[in-house]
Amino acid sequence: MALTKQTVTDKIEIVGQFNHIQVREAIQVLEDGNVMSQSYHRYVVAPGQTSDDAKVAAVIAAVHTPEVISAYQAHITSQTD
Amino acid sequence: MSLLKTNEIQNYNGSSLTLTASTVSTSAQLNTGGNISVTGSLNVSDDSTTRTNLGLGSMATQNANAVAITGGTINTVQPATGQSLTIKDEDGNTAITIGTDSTAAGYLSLNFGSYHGDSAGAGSGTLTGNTLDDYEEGTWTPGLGGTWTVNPTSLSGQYIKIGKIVWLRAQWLGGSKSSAVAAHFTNIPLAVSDQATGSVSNVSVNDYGNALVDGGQRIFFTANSFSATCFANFVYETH
Repeated sequence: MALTKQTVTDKIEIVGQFNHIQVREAIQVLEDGNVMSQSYHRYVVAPGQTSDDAKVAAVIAAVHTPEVISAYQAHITSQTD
Repeated sequence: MSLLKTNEIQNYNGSSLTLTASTVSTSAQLNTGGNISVTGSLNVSDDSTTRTNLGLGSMATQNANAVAITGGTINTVQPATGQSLTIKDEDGNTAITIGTDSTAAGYLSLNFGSYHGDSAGAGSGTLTGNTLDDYEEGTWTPGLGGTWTVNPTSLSGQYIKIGKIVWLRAQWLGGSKSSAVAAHFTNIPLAVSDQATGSVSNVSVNDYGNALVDGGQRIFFTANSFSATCFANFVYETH
């Protein structure tokens, strides 16, 4: 009966005008490989940001094009001027 | 033992007849124009025919994994030890699943296709427009953006998502900046579809004004300096 803990990226969503990437991580406690409990942790990747998660990084490369990043930077600048 | 042969037995006043023998046997059919009362158990050798004759219908041919109940009322349904319980709709789609004691995750699973309100029709809905299938709660960790004079510490947060509505809380300790737009929080867990405002206070009930989640998914504060443990709460629409 071995208890282990792992964090897996279980959902990646692309939302909004500037392709914000919503990432959900499932934090799981397992007993002999079976999930005993699970909770979620989320974050959003804005255009121009990076990620150490290989799956998220692949999505970033696909949807955060230079054009999207440029448009997003112009947008946030306009909101705080 | 002696043998009595007769065509009819009737008690003296024509009402009931009581047999006091421990066992009454017949090799042929036993007919009665009235009721048969059994105070002990009734043993039959042909179960299938007996169930059909008693009007049990499909119950007579059901098996342990397929019980069909088409009428009557029940107040308790309990699965066998170690088994989950699934309730399906008329199309055979799973509507409710109750897991086993060892199923820590997803012990109760509800798959709502629609909901129906009271007899006046209030709350009734269609399958696609009123599907309650999206509830989630979890944590997030605010990040620091812009330029902080003194960085907030002990950053943490919680969220609850119900459909497109998000309740969001950020929690942090202290921090200061030079202006309302000089610094902000990042990393919100669910992108805001437009903009949203929230309120900020600390554990001493000091009012730190308002906060704004903008379309850049950043949280800005009207206050420039915070002390003790502070909270910002929002309710907004996500995508």
